[in-house]
Amino acid sequence: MEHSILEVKEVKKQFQSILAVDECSLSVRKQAITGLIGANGAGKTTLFNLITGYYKADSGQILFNDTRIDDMPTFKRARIGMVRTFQITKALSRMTVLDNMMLGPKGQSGEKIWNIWLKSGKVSKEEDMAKEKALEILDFFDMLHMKDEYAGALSGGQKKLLEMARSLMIDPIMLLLDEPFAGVNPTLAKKLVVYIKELREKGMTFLIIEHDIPLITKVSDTLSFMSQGKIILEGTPEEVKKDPRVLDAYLGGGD
Amino acid sequence: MIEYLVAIGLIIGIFAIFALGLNLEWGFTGLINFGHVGFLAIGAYTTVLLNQGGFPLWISMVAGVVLAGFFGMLVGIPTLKLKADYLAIVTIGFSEIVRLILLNEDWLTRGPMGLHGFDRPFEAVIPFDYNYFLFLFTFVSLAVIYILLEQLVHSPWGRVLKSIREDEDVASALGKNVFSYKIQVLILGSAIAGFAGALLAFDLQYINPRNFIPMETFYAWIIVVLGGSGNNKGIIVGAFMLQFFYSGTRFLQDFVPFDSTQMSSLRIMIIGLLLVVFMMYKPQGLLGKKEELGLGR
Amino acid sequence: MIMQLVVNGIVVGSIIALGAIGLTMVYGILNFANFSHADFMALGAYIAFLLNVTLGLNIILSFFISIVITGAIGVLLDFIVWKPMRKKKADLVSLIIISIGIALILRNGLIFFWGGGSRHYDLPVLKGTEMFGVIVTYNQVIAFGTALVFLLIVHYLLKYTRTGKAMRALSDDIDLARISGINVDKVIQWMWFVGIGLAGAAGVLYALETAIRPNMGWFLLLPMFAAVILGGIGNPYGAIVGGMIIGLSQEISTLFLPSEYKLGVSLAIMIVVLLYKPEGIFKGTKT
Repeated sequence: MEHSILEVKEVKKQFQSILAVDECSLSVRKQAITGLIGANGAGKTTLFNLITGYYKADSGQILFNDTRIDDMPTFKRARIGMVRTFQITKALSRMTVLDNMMLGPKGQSGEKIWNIWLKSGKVSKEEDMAKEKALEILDFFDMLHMKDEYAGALSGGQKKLLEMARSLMIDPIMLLLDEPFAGVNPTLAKKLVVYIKELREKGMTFLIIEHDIPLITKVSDTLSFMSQGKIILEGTPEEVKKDPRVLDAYLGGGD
Repeated sequence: MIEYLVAIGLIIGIFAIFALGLNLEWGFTGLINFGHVGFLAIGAYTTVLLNQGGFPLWISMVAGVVLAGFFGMLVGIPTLKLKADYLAIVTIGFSEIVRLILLNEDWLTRGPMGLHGFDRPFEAVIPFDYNYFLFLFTFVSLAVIYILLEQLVHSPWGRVLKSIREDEDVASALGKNVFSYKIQVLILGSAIAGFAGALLAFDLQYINPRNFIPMETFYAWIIVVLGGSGNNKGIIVGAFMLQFFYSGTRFLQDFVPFDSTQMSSLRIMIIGLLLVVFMMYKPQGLLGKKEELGLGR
Repeated sequence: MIMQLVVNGIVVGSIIALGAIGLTMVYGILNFANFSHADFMALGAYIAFLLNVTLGLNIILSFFISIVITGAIGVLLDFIVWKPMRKKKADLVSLIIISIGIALILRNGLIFFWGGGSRHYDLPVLKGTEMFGVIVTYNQVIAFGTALVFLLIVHYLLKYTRTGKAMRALSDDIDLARISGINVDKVIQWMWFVGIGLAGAAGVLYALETAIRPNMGWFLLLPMFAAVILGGIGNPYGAIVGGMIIGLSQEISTLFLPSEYKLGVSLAIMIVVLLYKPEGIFKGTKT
């Protein structure tokens, strides 16, 4: 059954003199892993920012789980299950890895100021549970030994992993990953591909921006190729990567 | 001698409380509040005016604290959704408007003549020198506020604050309502400043608009920067250091060829220099952890 | 009555405009709110005082020398403070706090050397003129005229000189400017020289209109910020128009507000702009 969890309908975004996203449409099925590719400047990150609420679209509609979210602030979109990572890693450098992780879970009672004193028992129970989950996820990403390091001390690739690990703490329904494999060593990248597919089996949907064509081909069900603010080609990875326009973008001048 | 120590101890305690409020805003959440003194003024004047108007002291104090927090919220609402520097500009404007109102609305505040003749906590029942009691009262309050703040910043709530300080976009991506947290912090920080204002009124026994000039905000800033933004222990240390600097330079007065105006401007120049030097080379302050507040990302 | 206020407003407005240009350039190119800008106005006024009254030079010479010295100090500060911070990629918030430190040093340095009282330049006291029931003092005419001339010079600089064009490029996109071969550091130094120099000029003119006082810059800091935000951050022409609007609004407001609250007018305008059109009324370079 083809159910679209994310529907982007003719969304437009103009910045002063640049039309970054030009009536772009995109549809992501539930539990699909969709890759978003395109040359630098094609508008991929802008599209991400529009979908997740960091920018407001000039026109068009965005639906998540059949609800219109165009006017919803970013944090609310995160709470209903749409979480993103960033192209330029935003590890919270001056907090420890573990603290970064513990930030993740939603609905933490301890995040409401009164509960610290009024429900202190519940708060510490939740903290313990969150910590367990955090350590589990860190272990999978081979970062358990770094849990008390300040995130600023991590290598580029590790910061990317931390971002993804942190996003998992919030139990997202859909993860939008912006270049998750950049700077990650091949062994771990392979492991990530396996993990993404595992998460998909458990019900998660993915939209991934990536420049590494072999890698994105391996992990995605479909590829969407974006050029000059519009998605001009969609299909299976095999079909798309052979298309002359894609070849042109990646070999001709894009990267 | 003891009386002198009690007197400066009182200033240290009051400024420590004042700076703890600022530390919550700047040190933990990254909000640039340059109008902190405005809330000090609101706390002081509200307490005094209500008390002179016949209200019991406790109610007046609570009103002062609440009103200060309320104005913190008012100031925050239009500005917290914007960039950090706008908050700085607007808050400094706010505190100056407060001061201008205190100065010009003399039907209410007696303008530059100021206010005196108001109750102080338990004044009637203290058999010994009241200042000793006030000193105790201030330091007990400081301890309570310190403990509560420490619990707050080490809680999940405090963790969200730090993430906001670090990178709001990430906090939003993780589902945190950044705006709501910033407002909460501004309310709490301003309320703490309001409480310090009430204490200041009790200490001075006479308040006038000159006590609430922008420089007072920057004293709180140097305490926070020296002591280590985001480090409450450091604030206490910073408050002591600022007072020692003051008292020390006052003793020096007899040995230097400058008059008192020059001394006080020299003091402030040194404070300005310390602000510059610390922000350039030691932003974590004397006690902060380098990783926690080193520059650059 | 209202015409008198309009005249006063235009004079004050042109002074605010002159000062706001430097402020908006720093904001647009270096991306932070420079809280010490207003104190350079005071510095300029005092240096001119030193030259004019203490050293006996004529006022026009003092004026120009003061601008050069003040601008040079601005460049010096770039070497000592701002450039090292750029190298460290310091965050903008730290720069604001540093600028406060510099403001405190400047202002109190002035008090240290000259005391807190007010001074005046050694000028012949000439009568003003009266036109249509409006009194215009000689000093006001000079202040406005000079400001106008300087504003035209700035316009010429920005539009026709290489440095000026480079400054506009930096304001738009500093990385792009660097890549296109512009010597960014040098242009930034020029920006400081011009911006701070203009502030010094504005300070002298303001002192002509009122008096030389250590706190004089402080009164204009908020109106200048309001002018910058109103005009669009990074847009010098916007700052000029913004300055005029702020100056006029403050004076006209005295029709229904006590004049002590003029500052409140700038603040109110600023808040309204921030709430409804934070990019300003003209195209700024940043939001």
